[in-house]
Amino acid sequence: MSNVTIATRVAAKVSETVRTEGEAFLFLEARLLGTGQQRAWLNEMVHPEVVYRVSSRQLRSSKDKRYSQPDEVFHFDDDYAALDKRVAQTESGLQWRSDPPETLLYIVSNTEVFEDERPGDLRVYSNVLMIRDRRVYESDQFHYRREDVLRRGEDGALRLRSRGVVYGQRFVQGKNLLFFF
Amino acid sequence: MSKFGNLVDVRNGTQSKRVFYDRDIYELELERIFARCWLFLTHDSAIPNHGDFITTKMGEDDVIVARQKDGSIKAFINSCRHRGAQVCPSEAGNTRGFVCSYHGWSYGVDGKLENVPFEKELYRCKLDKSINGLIEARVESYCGFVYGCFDKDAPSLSDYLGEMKWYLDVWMDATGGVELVGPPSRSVLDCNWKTPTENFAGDAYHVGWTHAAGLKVLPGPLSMLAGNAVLPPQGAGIQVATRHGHGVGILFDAGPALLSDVIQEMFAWHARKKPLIEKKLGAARARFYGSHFNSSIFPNNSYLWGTNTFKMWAPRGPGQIEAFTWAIVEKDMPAHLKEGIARTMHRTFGTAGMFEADDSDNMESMTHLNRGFVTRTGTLNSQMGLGGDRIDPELPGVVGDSAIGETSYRGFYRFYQEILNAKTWADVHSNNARWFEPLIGEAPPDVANAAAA
Repeated sequence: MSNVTIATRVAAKVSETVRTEGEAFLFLEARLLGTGQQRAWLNEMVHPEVVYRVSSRQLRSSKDKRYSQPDEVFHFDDDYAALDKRVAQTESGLQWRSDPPETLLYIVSNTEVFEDERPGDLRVYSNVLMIRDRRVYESDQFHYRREDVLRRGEDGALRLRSRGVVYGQRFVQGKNLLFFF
Repeated sequence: MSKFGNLVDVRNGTQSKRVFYDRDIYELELERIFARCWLFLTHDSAIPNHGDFITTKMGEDDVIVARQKDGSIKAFINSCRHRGAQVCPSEAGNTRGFVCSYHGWSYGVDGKLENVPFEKELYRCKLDKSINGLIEARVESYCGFVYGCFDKDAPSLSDYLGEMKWYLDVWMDATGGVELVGPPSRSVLDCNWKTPTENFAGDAYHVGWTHAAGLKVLPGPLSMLAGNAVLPPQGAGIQVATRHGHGVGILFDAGPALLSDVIQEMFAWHARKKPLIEKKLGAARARFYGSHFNSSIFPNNSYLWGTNTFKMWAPRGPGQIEAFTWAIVEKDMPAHLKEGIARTMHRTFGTAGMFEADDSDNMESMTHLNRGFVTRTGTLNSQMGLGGDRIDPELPGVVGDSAIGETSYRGFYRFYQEILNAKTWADVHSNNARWFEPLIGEAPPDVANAAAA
């Protein structure tokens, strides 16, 4: 999955109403995930056929054409059932690391909304800066670009059909990526 | 005894808390452990072709590991012989050579200094290129796992692994061979390098409690351990300590219990291959094949067999590490099973791992609470099962008979103290006939009070 927008592929603009709707979707997500409402996020905002991927790319010379080993490692390669288990872990009452509760602040920006290939789907790009504060002294920062596909259900609501993040910071300084992107 | 006094009381199974914090001890570790022991580099599967290379760390030394034309592997320090700039900024690739970005000195894949810009005009034949190749480390492999060592006096890799080979052969060799699925994930943890290594070597005790939440929500044969609801019964496993500090704990039959989506397929795979293992290694080790291993190769290389994660904890000062994580797959597994193992392993023990993230608070606080002056005058306790370890007629190493205990901790720190205090490897091996004695037999009468000592 490419993080580079190819103009011809995403030339289909949407109305201002739809653009605003796409952005509002991201802001609602950010607020639910940032206020401990992962279950509501999963129930209401994630499509049952979701493909949810976060990866890191190994750093290689752009001139290298001969090395054939895989260059991507997946931190998340999840379907709905796998996301459900992750949410269940936070609800178990046994996840010691999240007690006392953490504070997650998602700042979402650079939102771009386009029509995707399948009619009715939206392709949405955004940048995120997330700060996770926990325990007395710990404050970790995460920054990433997202490429999402939102699909409209029969009830008219948008849901997350796919999310792709290639995490740019090769040596992950935030210690773990155990949060929803 | 080192200049720090006795850091480890082997007989009593305790260690000084300073080993997790003290900068001077860490500097001695770099000199006496990381510059003298075999350190994990890579696997054959990452660098199959001539000119393939990866870069990684040996201790804090940045190294390039490259496949040579004759099929051998060389490792060199990733620092130009001119003014020391980094020669290769990539993590991996295939190349004809390495060119330093500073003055353009260029080295072959064999590390030789091949070209120096304007050499004739500027150096006027006064530069001897033949003695200015990249500095090499020794490189040896075991079953495709490649290790490096800076000490010409260190034993061979095979001798260094010692008794541990008997256990490694179950999965590294008798299976027909394994590969590491890369690239690795790479992340920081603010903990001393020994805190995850000792945990992987010998800590079955923490599984039910630290990982309670993950066990509760991920269905599988180990879910019953969630929240310490159940203790594995007597005879559920063993723990092992070895001559050079390596350790392994085996939980019988548990195998892929943590790999959710692929559990059933893996149990079926193991069942089909077990007769082959039995034919090669006998019934006991055939059972190990389907069991779960937690293990560390001294000093900083760990793995879980069954969960199929492979780790290297690269030290960055006494209070921080870089965690490298790969997936282990058997060479003859179908592609979809290899992908499934990589996917579900990273889901549990990767950077967003549902289990991995449980451990960090423990390891970080074990390390950094020692900023407290009074705190760091205390001792660490690894006395579980003290006095019960023994030599077994069939199982190499020192053996603890239960699935849960601290046998491997005591073996790890016995060697830690030995290598830290030894001026040479010959000093280490002067103890060969008796190395295990302080680990076995009756516990000393004052063990109950040792924690207060």
